[in-house]
Amino acid sequence: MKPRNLIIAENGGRLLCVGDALLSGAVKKKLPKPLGYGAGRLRETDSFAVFVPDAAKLNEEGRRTLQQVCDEKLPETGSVIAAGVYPGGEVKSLIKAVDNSQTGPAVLLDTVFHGQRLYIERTADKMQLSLMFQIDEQQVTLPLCGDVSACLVIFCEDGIRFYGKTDELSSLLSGGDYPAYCDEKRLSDENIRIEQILEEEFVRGLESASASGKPQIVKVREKIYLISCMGIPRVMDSEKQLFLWKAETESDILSRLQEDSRQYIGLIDRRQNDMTGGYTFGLRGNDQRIGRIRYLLQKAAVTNTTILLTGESGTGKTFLAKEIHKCSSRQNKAFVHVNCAAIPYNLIESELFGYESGAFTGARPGGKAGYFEMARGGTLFLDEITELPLPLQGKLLEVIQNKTYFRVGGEKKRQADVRLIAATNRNLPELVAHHRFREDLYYRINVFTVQIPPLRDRMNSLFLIVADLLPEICGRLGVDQKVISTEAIEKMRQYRWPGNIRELENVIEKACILSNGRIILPDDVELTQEENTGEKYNHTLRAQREAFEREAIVNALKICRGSRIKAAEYLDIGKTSLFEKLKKYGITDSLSAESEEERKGR
Amino acid sequence: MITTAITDRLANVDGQFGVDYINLGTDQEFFFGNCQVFSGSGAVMLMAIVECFRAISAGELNENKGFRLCQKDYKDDAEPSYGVLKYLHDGIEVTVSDLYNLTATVSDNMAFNVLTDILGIEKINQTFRALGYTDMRINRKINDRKKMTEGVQNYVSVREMAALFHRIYKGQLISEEVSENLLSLLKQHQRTSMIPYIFKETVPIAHITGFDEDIIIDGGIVLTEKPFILVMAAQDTDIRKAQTIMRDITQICHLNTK
Repeated sequence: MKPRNLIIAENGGRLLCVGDALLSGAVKKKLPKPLGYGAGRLRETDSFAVFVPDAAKLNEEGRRTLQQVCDEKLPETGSVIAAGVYPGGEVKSLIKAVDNSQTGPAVLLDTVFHGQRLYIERTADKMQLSLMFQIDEQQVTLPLCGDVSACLVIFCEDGIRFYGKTDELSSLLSGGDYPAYCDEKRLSDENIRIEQILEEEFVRGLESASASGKPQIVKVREKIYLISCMGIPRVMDSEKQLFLWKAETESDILSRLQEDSRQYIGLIDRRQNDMTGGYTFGLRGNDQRIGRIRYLLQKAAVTNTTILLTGESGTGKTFLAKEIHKCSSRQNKAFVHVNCAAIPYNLIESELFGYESGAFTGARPGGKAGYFEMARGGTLFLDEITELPLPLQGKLLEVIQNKTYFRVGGEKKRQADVRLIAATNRNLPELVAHHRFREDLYYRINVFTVQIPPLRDRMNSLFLIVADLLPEICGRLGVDQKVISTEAIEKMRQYRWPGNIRELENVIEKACILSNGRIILPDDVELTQEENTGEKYNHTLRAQREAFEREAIVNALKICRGSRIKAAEYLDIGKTSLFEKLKKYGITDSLSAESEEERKGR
Repeated sequence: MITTAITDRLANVDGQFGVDYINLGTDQEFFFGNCQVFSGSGAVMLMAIVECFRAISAGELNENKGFRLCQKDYKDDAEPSYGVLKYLHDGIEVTVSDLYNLTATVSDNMAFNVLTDILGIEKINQTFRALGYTDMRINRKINDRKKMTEGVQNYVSVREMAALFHRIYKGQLISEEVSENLLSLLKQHQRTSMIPYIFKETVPIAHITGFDEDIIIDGGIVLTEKPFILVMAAQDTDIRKAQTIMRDITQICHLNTK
């Protein structure tokens, strides 16, 4: 496949290759002998000239389109020349029947059409008949051989935009696309120099890029190019060196960034799949922790085991619960999401288990199915399970153990056939310790626990997560697809992300709206001021380890009601070591006040 | 080359078309088309202007003489009507020079009609016959509905207009001074959609145009470095498209003359 944005030349300046994307932008306009043309289509106010060798052989569609655009009737037979302006109606077209009694060289047309000289001559060169079109000072020649419907030239005041033989006259004259074309035979047969073909500013850019070795920015006819150079020594011939330049516009670079991003994600996905054997659960990232979580979920998802998802608010527990369901054998049944915190205290039992008719004042006649019943055969996701009232926790425990339950006011025992997933952002052991959550229920749901790390602990995967979220957010907002700059990602890395993925989505959404171009820049990323205190979030391993250690010590002291000695035993470290750490992390005496009293007591 | 070029461009034209071209460097003249006498429309105003200058030059008319205009005397129902005089206040006083300036620059219908009253239609025709032009004739005022419904028309000749411009260029129409004054005046003509279209604004073109529902005329002298005369007329055809052909023909003539 020919590279789109490349220029290749010998070090003497002989041009060897021009990329398709550069044929319309970097090549000089109105070259007397065009080297080709860029991809395009017939545009409003473009002129065209057509030579039809035999009007009788023109297909119906081609004839109809040509007549429509010219607003003239074509002869039924014989050779015809037609010239018009697309889409027709404003300029009087030209239709001329060509005398077919002579088949040799002859001037077929010599006039001015729509302000430009239009000259068509049938020429002969070594017994080969050709058709030469001249538009003002430009000339192109098309061989008149083979069975082809028409020879077409499209031009405008900037010169010839398309030339060639075609059997798709209807498509082209209706504004259909045509691909780029470069006369590579001329490039190989003739010694064509880059300065003959390319615009002066562009050539200067090539020369500067090759001399300095640094990318150069040049403006050519309202387009801005980034030109980078790579000199390639020719191995077989040490005297000649090849130069290869890449010239990209802003949209080329953007497309490349998007493609690179897609390929990078594809690479990571492949590596992840190789590591984990398949389903990723939508967890982007290539760190060990995420890999481990994927592995655990892949093991658990295909079973009916109860899964407990823990993690800070906004880390994606609900999303993950849905992914687990999609991967399970119950994927074709219901997924019922219950937010235990959102249901009023006095209604939660009837909502979960349903009620029979007359169970309470206001009960619906005929009763109502509860969530357990709605999720029958499928998955029941109890979000914020710690918000269940204690009395109800007991009933839930019974359902999980016996797989049966009764509706409120009901006498019929019902089967509970659900796969249970629970989630909480609270510290369950702590709640159990404070008797705010039943210990027996805790052990029932803590069968397979997956701790989802906060976003701040996943900064290495931040780019992948953002790349995953961006397309959906851009689509939802109805804006062009965007990519994110490395500087913007870096700015995001310094933030603590107390709201995790949910907060990240909001920040990205706002950045998409604020962004003026296709690339999200640091200024587009607005982070909450109070969290972004200027003291940057330290994501080094040491800082994270120390933070974890501090948190573990604080938790231990809470559990051990402030007793340092007991906390040291709990943590399985020496007392001296604990005291040093208390001092190091500035853990206040208030947390260990009782230990002082204890010591005094002893 | 010019003959095939213009012939090719007129290859599939419908209606009547006439083109007269004179290369002022070689005096070579070509005529193309299928018709040379056309309904006059605004181009016929040239006749009134020529007669006006003749009369001034002969002392028969004072160009500074004023006339108070009463709109009801020149009722013109056509909407819009070319020119500005119709839209100015009733009782405005204009001079002869105002009238010929308005006629020449913006093809003012009312100004032309007033001039024909001052000069006399028959006198205008007589002058042109005397100059040797027998096809061009004024038979009525512009937008004279009564005469129009009776089928009475004004006529211009593409060939006679070209000849007239040739004499103007050579300073041979009536006198050198009259020719020079006519040339200066006709350079001020403001419609630029045909002959002047392909040239820069700095190129002087002394011409006159005529537009109507089904007729379009432009004729004059293009005063490029290599000047030429070009008179074109089209009738019973798509007027908008005819303009585009006229621009191309102007280009052909210009390239031929260069």
